[in-house]
Amino acid sequence: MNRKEFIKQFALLGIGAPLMASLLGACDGKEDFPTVEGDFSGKVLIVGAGAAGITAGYLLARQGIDFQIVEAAAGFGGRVKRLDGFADFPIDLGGEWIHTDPSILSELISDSSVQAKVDIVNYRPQTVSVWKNNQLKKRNFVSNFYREYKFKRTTWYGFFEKFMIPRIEDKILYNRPIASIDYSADKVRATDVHGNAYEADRMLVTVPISILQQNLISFEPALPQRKMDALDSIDFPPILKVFIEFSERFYPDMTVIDGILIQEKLYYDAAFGKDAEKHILGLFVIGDYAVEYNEMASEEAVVQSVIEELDDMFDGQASANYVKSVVQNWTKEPYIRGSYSHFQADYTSTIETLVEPLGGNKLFFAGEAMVLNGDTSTVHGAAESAYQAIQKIMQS
Amino acid sequence: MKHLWIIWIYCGIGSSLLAQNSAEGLPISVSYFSQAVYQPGAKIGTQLNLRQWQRSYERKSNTYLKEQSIFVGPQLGFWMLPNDHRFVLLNAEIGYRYQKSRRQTFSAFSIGLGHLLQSRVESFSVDLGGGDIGDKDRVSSHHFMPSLNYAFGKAINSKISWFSRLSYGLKLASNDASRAFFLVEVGVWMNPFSSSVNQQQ
Repeated sequence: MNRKEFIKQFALLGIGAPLMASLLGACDGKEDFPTVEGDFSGKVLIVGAGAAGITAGYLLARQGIDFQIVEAAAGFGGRVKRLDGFADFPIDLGGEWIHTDPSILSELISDSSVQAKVDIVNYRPQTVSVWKNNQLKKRNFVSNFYREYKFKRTTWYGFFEKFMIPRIEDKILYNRPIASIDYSADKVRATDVHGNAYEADRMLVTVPISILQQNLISFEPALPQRKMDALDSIDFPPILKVFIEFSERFYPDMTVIDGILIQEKLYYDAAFGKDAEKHILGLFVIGDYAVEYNEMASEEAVVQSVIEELDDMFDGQASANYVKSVVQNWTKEPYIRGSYSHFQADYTSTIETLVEPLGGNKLFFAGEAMVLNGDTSTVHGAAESAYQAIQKIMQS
Repeated sequence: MKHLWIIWIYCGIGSSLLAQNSAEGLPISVSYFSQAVYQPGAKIGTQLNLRQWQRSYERKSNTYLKEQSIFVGPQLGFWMLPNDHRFVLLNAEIGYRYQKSRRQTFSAFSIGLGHLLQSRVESFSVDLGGGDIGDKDRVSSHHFMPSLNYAFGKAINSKISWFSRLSYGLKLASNDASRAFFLVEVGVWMNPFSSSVNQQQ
């Protein structure tokens, strides 16, 4: 079983991304990134400035192609987001782990003239526990097999900010949620909720699949039924992250709730390997576990619930050492509305249907759910999907 | 300092037993030693018998011998996770082994006490221009590692046996990071000077 098949199988089991890729650390390897070249010379409109949209713009800028990025939110990044000032290191509020060989960062930039290095944490928790049936049990043997990577001094957001955004900054329009896309004519036309219209020869839609699933963008003509069926077959569960500072450290590197293979709720030392002095505990919750938090009345209620659970695990040390916290509820972000794709079945054909261009090669799609032969549900996968889409556009 | 004492004790016991066994020739094991296929390693070892005895048994009208021994075995092993961990294990074990002459197969059970040196890559850098990985920041730690071991093998001839072995070890750490290992070995025992497979495991 290769790595992609492994991820697929685990996705079917509902296992979250944090552990999926890393369990096969030995399968790490460089991705086969497509070469972006072709004769296209028109204008491209990119909808969304997340990892896929940013990468797409970066590639077009390097090709000298005219393009525009329209972003619904007030900033770039999408599901990668940075929190500064909370701790003595920047915190990834969104995509956090690097789920493959970190040399992929070089491939994403794909520019041998870049003279820079990025420090990477070899993320192999040494102390791992499972909280199940009100008992905390050591499971340190997981450390023998589990490995991932994280940025040591920066974040995914910082990576894009430093190495891609400078080339495309003036091409991004913020606070422009697209309401409709018309690809029936020679030109593709998008209109935002404020009534502003944008026209181009090609359009690349990189919004989260939740936006398409919930028909928050209307298409003219409507998206084909096969594409809607493919979209509907993908689970896009709720997700929530909480970061808490404690005055003392009392927790292991990782605590998984209900079982090692149930990676839907886990506490982790967010400062692991970061040369930090502050004690920051992260909580990653996805799927059914996140639903109960979503139903809570406020973020304060979420934190209170988390502290109570930690007190049960660690004999009251959480409330005794609590300093401050921050909650990032991605499900409540109006332009995200969930986490990342979980494929139910027929993985490859579903993605092929999703990325299929429409309107006679005018309307293209990219994003973490639309990575052909790549790593779905990951940040680098989203960026890789942009390579695949831009390659098609350049050859269209 | 305590680790030097352990090494010294191992050497002392080993040389003493080596002198007692020198007349029989010294069997040497060479094996692939790993947690998993993608975590490669190697191990060498030897075995010195403290006591040997045998008894006969009958099966289908034939008489066979069951040769048994109590042994000690010093070993030196190494395994690694590419770009990640390196482990060096100096191990000494004591065990019981028997070999049935009918099929020339043997089994051995042993308990071991090892000294594990672990070198872990905590962080590294990626060159964004070329993707090269460098500037590895390694941290080393020392641990005791008791283990339970089971080996099974078969003599090919009087000088060579193949064997496979499964070990369950516990890396003892003071910072709550103790953890279990399952280690697998596949290799051969060799004793060029032996006249009997009984001297090999």
